[in-house]
Amino acid sequence: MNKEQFTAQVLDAEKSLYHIARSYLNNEEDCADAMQNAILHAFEKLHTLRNEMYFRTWLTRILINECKQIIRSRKEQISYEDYYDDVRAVTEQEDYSEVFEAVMGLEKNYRAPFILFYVEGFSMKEICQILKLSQSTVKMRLYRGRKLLKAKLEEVYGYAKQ
Amino acid sequence: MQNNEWNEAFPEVPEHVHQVVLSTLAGLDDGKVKKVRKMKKGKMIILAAAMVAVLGMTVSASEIFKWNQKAGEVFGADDEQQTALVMGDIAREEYQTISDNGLTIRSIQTIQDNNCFYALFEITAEDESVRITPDCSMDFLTDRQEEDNLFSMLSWGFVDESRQAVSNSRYFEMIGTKMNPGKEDLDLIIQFTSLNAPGEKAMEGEELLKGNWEFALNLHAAEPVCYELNREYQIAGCPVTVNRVELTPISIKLVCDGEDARQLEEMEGISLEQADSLRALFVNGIRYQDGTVMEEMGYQELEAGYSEGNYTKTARLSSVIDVEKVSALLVGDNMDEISIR
Repeated sequence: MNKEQFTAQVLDAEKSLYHIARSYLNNEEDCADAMQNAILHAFEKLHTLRNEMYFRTWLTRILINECKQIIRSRKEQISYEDYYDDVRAVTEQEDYSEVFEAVMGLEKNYRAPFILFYVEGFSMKEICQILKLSQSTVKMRLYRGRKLLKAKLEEVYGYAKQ
Repeated sequence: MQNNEWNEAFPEVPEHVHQVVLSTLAGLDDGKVKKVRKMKKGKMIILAAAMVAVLGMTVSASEIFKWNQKAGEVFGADDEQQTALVMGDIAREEYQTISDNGLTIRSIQTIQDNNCFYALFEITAEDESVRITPDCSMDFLTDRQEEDNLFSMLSWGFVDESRQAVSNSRYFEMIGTKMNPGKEDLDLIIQFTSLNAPGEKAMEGEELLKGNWEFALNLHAAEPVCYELNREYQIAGCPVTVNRVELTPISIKLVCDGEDARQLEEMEGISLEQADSLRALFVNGIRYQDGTVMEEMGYQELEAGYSEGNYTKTARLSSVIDVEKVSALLVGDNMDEISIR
């Protein structure tokens, strides 16, 4: 893959990368940092990508590592719990859709699998590779996340969106 | 919900995050990786009554750095110049779209440096029977009342019919200058408030559509290339010391000795205190190192005046110039040469 192809693939995945970064990080500046670091890291390690078909999965994995790195650096100042509470607080201040707010209100363990599967359309196998989790764990988190989201949306709409 | 419906319920990539991605990609170098400077977060204003959609780029790599065709025409920039200016953060694609009361305004492109900016919008009425002609106007406010004015608007309006046929959609251009030119990126807040039909006088047209369309455009202050000259040149037959020339692809700053400029003023029989212009220092052309001359036809003075013993003139260029290849400025009616090499 040359630089042009890399650039095109990154731009094609940009929205997806932002959504995934947003599921981990509580502000846009951090998302921009994580995305920038992931792009640079991926370009540097491009020679290690064996099959270009898996570029998006591979890049998403790198992005999540960068997100976790940022959270670790923030952890020195605040706890994980406070950081994720901030996600909700920030989300509530912006003019986002109720669906987005409801997803962002999920516990962090349920949020990423949910976004990867339902929003970004990754397969179960890809999510397992990205999150380094077993299929049964991903399935369980999706099931619980769906259930929690249904309850949240029922509060908002009075019924669950299918 | 289907996957695409979930995706639609999620926010688009914010413009400043998109700019970070573009800058990062532009800074990639084969074999090397360098961390690029990130943009400041722009003030993204989302009105309750309006829908803001920041569209993501899904174009192929060869089209990534291409400008909007209209903006390319305005500045006469070829593909190579367009790419260079996007990579230099002087030209930016904007993808903010706001719809309100049957009118959609989309910011398309900004081109800017430390002195001035150009912004291109596309304004479309949902009702196809609404004809937006070049004589229509837009009412708009800039900056915020509680803040100092950061910008001064020089010209604005819909593009003429020679550049776009009349329909329910039309490009709207805006050219302005920064009140305090400097190195800081600035957020240009533009709040459109109405589309007006042509009137007999400016500002008198009937209000066609009223609404609230507010944009926050982050303008990067691209740094100029500076030439400390402190050399004497013959300009309009007078010896004039030019202390410094600053060039960007879209503007020029010329700093001359104040006393020498006074001589030119006397010779032309004008008074700069009376807002006259010193023709002898109009930059009417550029000479490139290969001898090619680019005549500057659409020169627009941004600022001129005396300060600290110098006479300083800042001007916007109508066409993009290749700063690295400029060998001389050609000034005045006689195209007197100010060599910068």
